[in-house]
Amino acid sequence: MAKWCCYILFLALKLGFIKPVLGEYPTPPYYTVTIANEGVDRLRSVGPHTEIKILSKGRVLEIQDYLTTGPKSYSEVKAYGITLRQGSSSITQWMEKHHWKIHEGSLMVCLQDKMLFTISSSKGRADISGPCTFIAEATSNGGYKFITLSGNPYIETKEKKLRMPAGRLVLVLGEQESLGNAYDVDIMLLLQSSLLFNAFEEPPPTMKKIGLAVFAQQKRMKGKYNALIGDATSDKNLQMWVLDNQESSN
Amino acid sequence: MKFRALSIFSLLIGGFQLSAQSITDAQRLQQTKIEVQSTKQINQAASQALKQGKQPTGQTSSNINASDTGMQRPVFLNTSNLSYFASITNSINRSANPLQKDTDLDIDKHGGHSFSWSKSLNLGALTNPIDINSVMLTIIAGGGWTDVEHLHAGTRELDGSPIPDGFFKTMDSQSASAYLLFMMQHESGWNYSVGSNLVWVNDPATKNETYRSFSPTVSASKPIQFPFDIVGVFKLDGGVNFSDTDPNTSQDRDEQDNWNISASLGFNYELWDIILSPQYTYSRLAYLTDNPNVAVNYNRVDYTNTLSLGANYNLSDNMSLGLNYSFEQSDSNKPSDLVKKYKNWNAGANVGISVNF
Repeated sequence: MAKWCCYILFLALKLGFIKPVLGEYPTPPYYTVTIANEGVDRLRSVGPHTEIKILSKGRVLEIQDYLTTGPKSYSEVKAYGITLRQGSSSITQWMEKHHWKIHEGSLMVCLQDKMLFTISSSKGRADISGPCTFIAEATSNGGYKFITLSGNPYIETKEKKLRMPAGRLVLVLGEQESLGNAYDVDIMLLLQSSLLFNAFEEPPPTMKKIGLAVFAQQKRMKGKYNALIGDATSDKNLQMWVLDNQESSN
Repeated sequence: MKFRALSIFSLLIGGFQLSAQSITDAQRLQQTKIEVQSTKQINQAASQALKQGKQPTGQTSSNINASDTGMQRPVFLNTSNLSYFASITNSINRSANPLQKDTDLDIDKHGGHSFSWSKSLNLGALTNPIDINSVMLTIIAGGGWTDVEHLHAGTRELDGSPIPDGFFKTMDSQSASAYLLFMMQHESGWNYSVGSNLVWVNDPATKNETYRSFSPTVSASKPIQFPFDIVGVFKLDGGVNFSDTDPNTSQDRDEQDNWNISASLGFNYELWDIILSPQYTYSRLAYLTDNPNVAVNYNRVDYTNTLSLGANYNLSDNMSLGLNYSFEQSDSNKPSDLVKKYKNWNAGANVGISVNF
């Protein structure tokens, strides 16, 4: 009798008729929230309505869920050897198993295994081959900036495929779903000033690989430009802030 | 527990010092724009921002919105697989006990101090780091030439006998070296290296080769973060030295053969743009010569403790000035008339020019 009860309970759980008493039942595939401070919410469409729920550590996300962070909020979710850290004032959406969309803000993604991962924005979309670590940041033109922090992945859009060694930045363009010019950026400076990196108490899981990437870049460094890369206001314009002259040029 | 990114990177990159401060969560989440008006200020701003828990934005007179991504400064990298380096160093040193004869540093007892002038040239090439799973491999090959000239002009007694003028000139040397090194930076932070070194020494007066050696070496080092932004490096070295000594100056050709190990702990600390580098080294050197009849060094083992302090200031990207001081105390398991316990100190100054291309 007890054996049959267990079978029935297992089937009911499997088919989603019963949810565990504590929290939501993690129907695979799912992401688990590992870090979330105040101001991290999950938005889920339930019929014609949108359900908003405050996220805390241990909660799970389901496909099509939105993950939002307030002005001073940060979150980290994990699944399948993938770690995603979301910056403040960001809105992202889990689209498919290995596909996230950035509506606004920034995301750091650590891919520990070999896999194909897709990042899209309102207009841009590209596939990234892991293992690697990268930051994606939405830009004004509807595309996003892609910066590799470790590994040597390929980034591929409909029109172009590019090898992206650590420290390289490329713009995933909005209108043409293509790739813009690539730049090598100072990884050390970026990490020094990045809250996606420093606002968390624990280092990202690919920390050792990032460390090696910094080492390798320092060994190859010949010089630095007196400029900082800014926003991409359109597919043709990239803001470049010239530091010494205190002026910007598009 | 706070995650200190800068600490970790400064550990991975030898000699690259960065500030690392523990900051609270509340401090981290403050976002304050920082004015960056010059190139030099970028790094200062980033460093300051991390110390204060603020986010530098690369702000100029126009507005850039604060970004969690961090500052993206374009750089240009070496695109070829090989890099080359060259350096010229000139140094002058004063040694309190150049003949390494006594534990008393009274100069009258051991022949007086000596001044030496050293000129060296180093050339080499290295590969870009090669990514091999969890290791970055760099292969370095190079060579150098060093000329050491003793400038001592005084005459003193040594073991009761007067030292003739120009005695120290017999210690002058000209040497050439070549090396091949495989350096492996592991993701754990340990840096391993395996290599070999060839050295030839000539007597500048006779132009004859007086010494030649071949030395396979291994080493392992690990940077350690200490409080107050001090980066320490713990290092273990080992090597075997196969030598061939001029029979006119030695009792046995392989008299200088030895194997040696050493352990050191050094620190790097930047103070007003001057890099201070104190270091302690303990070394053990065991001679390998197998001829008990003629070799002074048969079954000899020396132990040396060395304390040193260096101060370096970069005048430009390619030129540096340095001061150095070291004190050493040596002991031997086989003291004799020729092999003695001794103490010595060296002090000197150097100027170096280096280029990378």
